[in-house]
Amino acid sequence: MIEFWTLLIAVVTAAACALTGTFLVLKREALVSEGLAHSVLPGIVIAYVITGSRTSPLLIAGAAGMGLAMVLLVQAIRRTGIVDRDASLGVVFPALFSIGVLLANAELSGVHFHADCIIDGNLSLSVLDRVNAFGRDLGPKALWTMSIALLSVAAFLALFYKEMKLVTFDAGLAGTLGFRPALMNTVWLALVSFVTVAAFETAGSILVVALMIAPPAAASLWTKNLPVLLAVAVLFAIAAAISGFYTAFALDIAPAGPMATLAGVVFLVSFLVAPSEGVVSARLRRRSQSRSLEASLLAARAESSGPAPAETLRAELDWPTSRFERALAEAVSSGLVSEEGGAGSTGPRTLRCAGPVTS
Amino acid sequence: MISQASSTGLKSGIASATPALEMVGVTVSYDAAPVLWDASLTLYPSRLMAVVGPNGAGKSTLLKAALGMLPRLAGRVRIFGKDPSEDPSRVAYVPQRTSVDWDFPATVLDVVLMGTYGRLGWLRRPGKRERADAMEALGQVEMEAFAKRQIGELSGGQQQRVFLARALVQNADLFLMDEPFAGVDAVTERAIVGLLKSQRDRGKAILVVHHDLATVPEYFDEVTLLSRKVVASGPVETTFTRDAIELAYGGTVSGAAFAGR
Repeated sequence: MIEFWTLLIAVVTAAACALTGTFLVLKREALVSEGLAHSVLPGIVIAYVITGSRTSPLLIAGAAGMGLAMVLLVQAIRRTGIVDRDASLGVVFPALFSIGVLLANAELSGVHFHADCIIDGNLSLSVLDRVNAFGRDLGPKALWTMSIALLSVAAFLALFYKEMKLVTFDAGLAGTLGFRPALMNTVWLALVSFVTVAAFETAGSILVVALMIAPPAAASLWTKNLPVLLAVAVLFAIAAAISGFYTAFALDIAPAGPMATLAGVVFLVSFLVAPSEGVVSARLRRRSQSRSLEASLLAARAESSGPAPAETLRAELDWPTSRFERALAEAVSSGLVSEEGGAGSTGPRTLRCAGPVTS
Repeated sequence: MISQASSTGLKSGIASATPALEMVGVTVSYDAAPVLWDASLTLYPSRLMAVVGPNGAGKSTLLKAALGMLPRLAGRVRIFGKDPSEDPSRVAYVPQRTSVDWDFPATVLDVVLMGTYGRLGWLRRPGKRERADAMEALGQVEMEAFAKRQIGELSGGQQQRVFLARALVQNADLFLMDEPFAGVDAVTERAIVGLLKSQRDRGKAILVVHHDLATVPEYFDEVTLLSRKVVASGPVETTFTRDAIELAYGGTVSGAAFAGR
């Protein structure tokens, strides 16, 4: 039963992260998630110190507010034009994270924050923290938190799909059409911040970033249709969560690591074999294109010089024998060139163009 | 019915008298040094105006200031007699082609449909009617066959046509276009010019940031020569003179002397 709850939390977390991450990837702001995952730490610690409770919803609100404030600060720094996009993130977030680590270690060490918890989260333990109401056990608190996060993001995107698409693609046009891109941006970042904070406890900062970025980045290599892309990103994230969970179970280790690894594997595989953008598929395509180009060149040569000995054509093309034979085989098999003589007979190999060369 | 007809008549009557765009003493500064200094121009409906000037003359800034996208240090902008923010539906802005990410997962039709978002307002989704309008606009730029194509697969000229279709579908009365001919092939350039002229003949006012001085007399009715300040603005025949051009383009060569004037 505990396994079931843990897996369910992992799946909901994965879906919420991937849905959120898709628009970060589309806006080319993937690093924001990394920054958020780090900068919410001081927010969590400070909110903990103030509320004195680690179960208070104020903790999440405080941390999410901190994250949002930081992203807006980064954007303000960016707007000054003094440092560029990435540098402004690089200036703000590590500083905040280190403050968070200092606070956690100095004030509260041993209470709640352990370095490995910050990095990996603690999925297995999060199941034990239950919500009780009316004398009944309503399931793990983390599941509730993550479900609320997932539903908020899904509801926001369902309602403002058109507006998000416009603001992400062309904020300038959005502004002139009266759609308040700055406001949309702030509300959206507040949601991103909320999801990050909610996922922080169960998933840890590294897994949050992995689940937010790797699945959408992988999905964008498979499809250029936005609704499909959103669905594929969520599916990839869920697949990584489930397979990561069982890997961890089999190896008897914490699930966050395998989940992040498998999210990376999904991206790597997509990067290699995705039909239009994958590295391997692109190479194969180029190779088959260059093969057929070679065959056409050979046929064109055979056409312009008339029936000729193979060796003469090879010399004219100035190709090494291996390349020539490869092109010849391709040209013969696709009916561009006919070959007389050769292996069986004693006469010289003569090549003849078999039809009009289009190339 | 009667009141509706008469109000339409009234509207078009006013439109011919009220400038589509009026800028008076507009100054914009990103930092201490003003990018646009005391710029004034007036554009009436049924006119096609070029904005020309050397690099860094503030041409894009002028457009953005006209749209109210940039804070003005001083000056007044009126679009059909109103503040730019008051009635955004009357203006269509065509940004530089390179200002958006063409790898964004969207089809040509998706992008043109964005032009209908303004009249749809918040939450409402484009429906059959908007789709039909978008297809019609694509037809005007001869891109119907590309409706289902991914925008990432388009050439520069095709991208510009898509942007133009998106502006057409907004059904605006004032077009502000930033370098629509940049990186565009000759066929597309001619097609776009033809389309702009037909829009002008239908009563639209069009302001185009342009970079090719040679084609100004052929393409445009009016011209504004800009070099941080407006050197001259008015009908091409009287404004586009050798002296004015030299003043505009010489202005940035000896930038310091000019700024001090």
